[in-house]
Amino acid sequence: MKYHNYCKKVIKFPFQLKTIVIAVVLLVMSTYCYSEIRYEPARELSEAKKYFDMIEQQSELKPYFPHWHYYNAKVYYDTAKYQMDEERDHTLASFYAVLALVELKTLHTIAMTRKIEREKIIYERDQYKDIADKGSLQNRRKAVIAGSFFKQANGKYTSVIPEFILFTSNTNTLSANGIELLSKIGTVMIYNPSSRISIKGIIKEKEKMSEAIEKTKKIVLFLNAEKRIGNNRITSTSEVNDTLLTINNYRLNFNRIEFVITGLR
Amino acid sequence: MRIFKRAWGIFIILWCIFTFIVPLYADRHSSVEVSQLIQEVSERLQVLKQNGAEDYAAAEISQVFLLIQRSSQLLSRSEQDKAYYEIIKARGFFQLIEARRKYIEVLCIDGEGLYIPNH
Repeated sequence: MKYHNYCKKVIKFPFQLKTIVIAVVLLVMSTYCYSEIRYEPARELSEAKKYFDMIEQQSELKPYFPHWHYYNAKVYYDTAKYQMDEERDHTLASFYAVLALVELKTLHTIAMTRKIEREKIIYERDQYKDIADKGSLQNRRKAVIAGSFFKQANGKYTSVIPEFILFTSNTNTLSANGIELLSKIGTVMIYNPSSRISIKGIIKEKEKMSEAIEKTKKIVLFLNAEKRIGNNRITSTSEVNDTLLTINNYRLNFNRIEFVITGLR
Repeated sequence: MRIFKRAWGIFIILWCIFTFIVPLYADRHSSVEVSQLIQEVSERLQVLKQNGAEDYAAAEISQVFLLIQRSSQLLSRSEQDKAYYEIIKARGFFQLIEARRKYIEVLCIDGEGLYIPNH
């Protein structure tokens, strides 16, 4: 008792000890309430951090990350962290943390979508390559015909090519385009050994008949020499024809070569 | 009783000190702006729901719905800034919903049975 009285005299508190203890308890309680306010943004921030770490670990998805969303997420996350730790504005911290989380989830979904699209393209490419490589001879024949310029009508594959495309002007020399087109015709015939070709030179003027005959001969020679197609598979004729052709609503008449291939399968 | 009165007095003094250290700002967003945003987001949510977004992004849709509700409550309490932040959060979810839709499309529809993903 004496000691207590001595303390009272020597150390003069402005308030009683009990008063201070109760004030401290109240302060602790208010701090606890404050931590409750902090809890939600802190949880959202840690969730964003976990998602960030998870995404960073997925190295196979990294090439597909949309950069826009990635940097948005990073900026939002850093801002949320700054608001939480430095500014202590928990509303803003929560706001940026949620935005970061949404950006991260969007980024992840887009990356997965891109990955699947890429895988699908590669899968399809491989499938088509397989079909092309391991396809039957019939498939290859069809591919060659499809790649050529013949049109199918009444079981025949026909094509009409103007002279000025096949030959250089006023000469019997094959042009570059002409060589390319005749090579395609030759390839179709090589892939279809039982096929036969009829080459008909059609001219407007009777006087130029000999020129037409020369030109059809030139084509036959080309097919013989370059594509090794025998004469027994080639028929060449020439005729005079004044009939107008209709191309894209224009009625035209020009010297031309008509190719008809039969026996394609 | 006297002790409690004094303790309460000290607490109030300390609380005032802690509170007024933090600067107070006026709300930066008007209630009209926030209510327009709420309306816009609600309409967008309705459209998404009608298009069947709940089938592929149910969690996101419910999250948006909750945020709209929270924003409306905050606005009714005249806390415009907080309401604004909540509604902007809700708006952010739409890009995620869109991304989910594309993902599902690629996964199911675009494949047409030709492609079966590993996962």
